[in-house]
Amino acid sequence: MIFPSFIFLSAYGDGLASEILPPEVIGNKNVTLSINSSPFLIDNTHVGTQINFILQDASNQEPFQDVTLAVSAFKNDQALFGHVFMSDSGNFLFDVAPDNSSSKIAINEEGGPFAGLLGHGGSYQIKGPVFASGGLYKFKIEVLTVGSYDNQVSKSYNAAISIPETNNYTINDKEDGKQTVTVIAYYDQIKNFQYNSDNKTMTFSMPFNWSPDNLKQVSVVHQELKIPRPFTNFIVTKYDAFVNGVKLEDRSVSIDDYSSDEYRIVHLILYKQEANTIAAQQHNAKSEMDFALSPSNETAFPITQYTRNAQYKVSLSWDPPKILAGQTTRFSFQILDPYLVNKTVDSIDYDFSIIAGKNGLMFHKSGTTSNNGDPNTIDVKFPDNYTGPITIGFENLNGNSFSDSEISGVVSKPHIVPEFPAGPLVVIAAMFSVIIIFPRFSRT
Amino acid sequence: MKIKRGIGILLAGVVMFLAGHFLAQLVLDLIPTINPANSSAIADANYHMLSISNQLSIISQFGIIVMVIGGIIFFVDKRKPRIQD
Repeated sequence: MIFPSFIFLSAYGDGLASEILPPEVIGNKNVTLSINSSPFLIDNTHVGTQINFILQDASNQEPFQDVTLAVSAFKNDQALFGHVFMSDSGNFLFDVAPDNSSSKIAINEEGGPFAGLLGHGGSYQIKGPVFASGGLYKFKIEVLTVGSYDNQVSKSYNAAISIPETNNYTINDKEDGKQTVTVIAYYDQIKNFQYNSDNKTMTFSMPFNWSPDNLKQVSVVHQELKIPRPFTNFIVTKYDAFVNGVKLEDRSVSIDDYSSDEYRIVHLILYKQEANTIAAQQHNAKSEMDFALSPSNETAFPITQYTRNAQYKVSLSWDPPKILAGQTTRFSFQILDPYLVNKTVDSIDYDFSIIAGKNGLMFHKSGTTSNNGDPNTIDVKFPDNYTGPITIGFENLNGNSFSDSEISGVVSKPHIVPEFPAGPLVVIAAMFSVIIIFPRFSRT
Repeated sequence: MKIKRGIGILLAGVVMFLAGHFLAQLVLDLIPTINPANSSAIADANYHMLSISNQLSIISQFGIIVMVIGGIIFFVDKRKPRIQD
């Protein structure tokens, strides 16, 4: 193996919990750096993080021997620590224990006071006020030796690891009252979370480097918002989401009603392509992403969802799009083949239910779907005395208890319009009076 | 005070082992790793300090061999008078 000394090259990585950086040539070898961190999802009181670096041959994924790395870590452009690490196997494991009680960062190789005397296992303990909070941690990794501790090279990698951070925000909605919205930021820490009750919009910001170099490497930016189901203004079929004033495509906003009974989970996911589109369209390129999320005035019908066992796909829409208490809503649905586009399955049995919240059965009907692929319709009269979240459930499709699907909706209060609006009548009467009386006075 | 040559070699080995190991660690800890501007002076320092650290590590490993040799000589010297007796 030939590794010439002092080749200044660099590779970049983005903020993920696991990634393999693009291969670069050192000597006659394609060398990649694999980065992993665990636990991937942590809460804000986590006790530690493990970070694993492996310098490996890109052709066969085998780690190199006798690797020395000079690693420096940064957060928000502030240096956290820098240290030289050695591993005979090319596999490095950093056990990071956040400790805010001490201002100093202690980095020790595992193996007691004479660690590294007869070899370097590559396991290190890092203890101090680092990794105590979530966000984007950037690493500059200089490869100093590869293949042998005497074989010095110079190779630079830029990598980053995102540690997700969970934050709860209590907001006050004019109609739904106090609600607690949870935001899990998977890329970097968010700030300035605000809710405007008048235009029903949540806004928050996240630091982001819009430089072409960074955009080239960012593979995904992900925000997860947990919206409590009683927050009915935000339980809608479609959301309008913006980043720096640029509206996101529908595919960037996904709704998860499955994972939690208490929350509707909304994912804002920007892949490389969406990030580049925003970079091209935005007017004010400051170093952050300003997110805005609000319920859309449009409806995203039909709502399509797989059954729990992925045997079928349920396509559902309803009319009128706003379900009102005391009024009848027509639900139209089709049971589709999960693997073919818009292909309905043959006639099957179904149970259709509407549940107030998650438990109170409001309507139930068992039936058989149509044989010709036409939408099946069910008219449901909603009671006057219930407004709030509902679950529209399909169960026992074709007699299979695992073939079920749940879709969330909201029953709203109807806007009562007076049958004989008194105000306009008074105005009209006054106008006619003026028209009749004014000519008489003008003659005299 | 006369020190037996075995013990002298053993002590020299201990000094080589301890000094080599801890100085190697010290030099390793002092390497300026934070180099955001990619300064070539810092890169040069990395190169030379890592070389020094590696050489000190070799000295400490060699110290173990010297300790073993010292021990062997000490016991051999101890046995010699008995053979003469």
